[in-house]
Amino acid sequence: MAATDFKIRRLEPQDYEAVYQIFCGPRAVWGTLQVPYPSAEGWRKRLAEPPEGSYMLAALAGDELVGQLGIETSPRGPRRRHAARLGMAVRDDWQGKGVGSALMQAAIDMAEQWLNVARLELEVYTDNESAVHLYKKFGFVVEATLVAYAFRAGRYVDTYAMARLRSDLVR
Amino acid sequence: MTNTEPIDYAIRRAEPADYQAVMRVMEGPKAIWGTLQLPYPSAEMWRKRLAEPLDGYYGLLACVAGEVVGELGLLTNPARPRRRHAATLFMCVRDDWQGKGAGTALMQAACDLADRWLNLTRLELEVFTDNEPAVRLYKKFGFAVEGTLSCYAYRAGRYADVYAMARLRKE
Repeated sequence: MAATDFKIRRLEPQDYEAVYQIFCGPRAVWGTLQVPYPSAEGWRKRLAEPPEGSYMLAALAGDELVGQLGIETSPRGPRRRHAARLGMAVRDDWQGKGVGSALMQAAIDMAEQWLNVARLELEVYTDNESAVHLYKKFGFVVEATLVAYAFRAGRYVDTYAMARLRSDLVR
Repeated sequence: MTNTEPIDYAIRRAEPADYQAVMRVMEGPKAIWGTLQLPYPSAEMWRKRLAEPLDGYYGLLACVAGEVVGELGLLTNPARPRRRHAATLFMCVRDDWQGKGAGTALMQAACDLADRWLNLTRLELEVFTDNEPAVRLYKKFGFAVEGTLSCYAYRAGRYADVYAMARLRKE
């Protein structure tokens, strides 16, 4: 499927079960900071009371929610108001089918054209090649390698800190 | 002041009643330049911040003859189990006390607390790339530059870069 085949809309509180299903997948857990055996109640609460300044998007195939992306802006950090952090996850059985591209396209448009975010940041495990490939395709560059950044499947693993600067910010 | 007599800094936890002294540390032009603070700080904001610290926050103060001359915070990750080995470090020395060893005293205390009591194996911080005395201090304590984050924060009318630095505990 092409990126245009997915419908993007805001993530709503009632989507919590679908988000919970995404994080029941071992690959989704592997690629993020989630832990196995997620709590549906935990996701219900998190979607019902999102942090201030966060914008959550959902990708739908038909009427099925198959991916989600969060843009976390910095409302309490005035000197970081031009920057936002991205986090995303695609359901295990929908990885490699363009969901991530559809979400990323929408997120960059939302952030840069409407939220006036000029610096988008994310962290990704250095060995998550498909994700790194996706981010590079959308103009993210590796700024740093964070050693032993997170614990994953029994050991500490490194992440890349990646960022995309809006064209007016590129020096 | 000469460098012949080492100054004895007393390190203790920051308490809610310290908020005005902490604000005095953070409101100097050099302090603002080196952190993410703003000119014209709000005393009420500092009162709240010290009265209701973030979960997992350890605030330390360096004092000389009872006077607060520097502050250091360690922010651990109690809500993120896969990042529980890591903490983010913030620090600031009052403008008129910079270059006199307060940072070293604070950093020594923080590394001891992190390594030997909180069981943290990764300490992280961000520092403006042109803040040379701070970079030197962090390197002295085993922090390494992991990368450069471009246009990370707004400072005195323009975007400035920071280093992402980290210190891994020697096992």
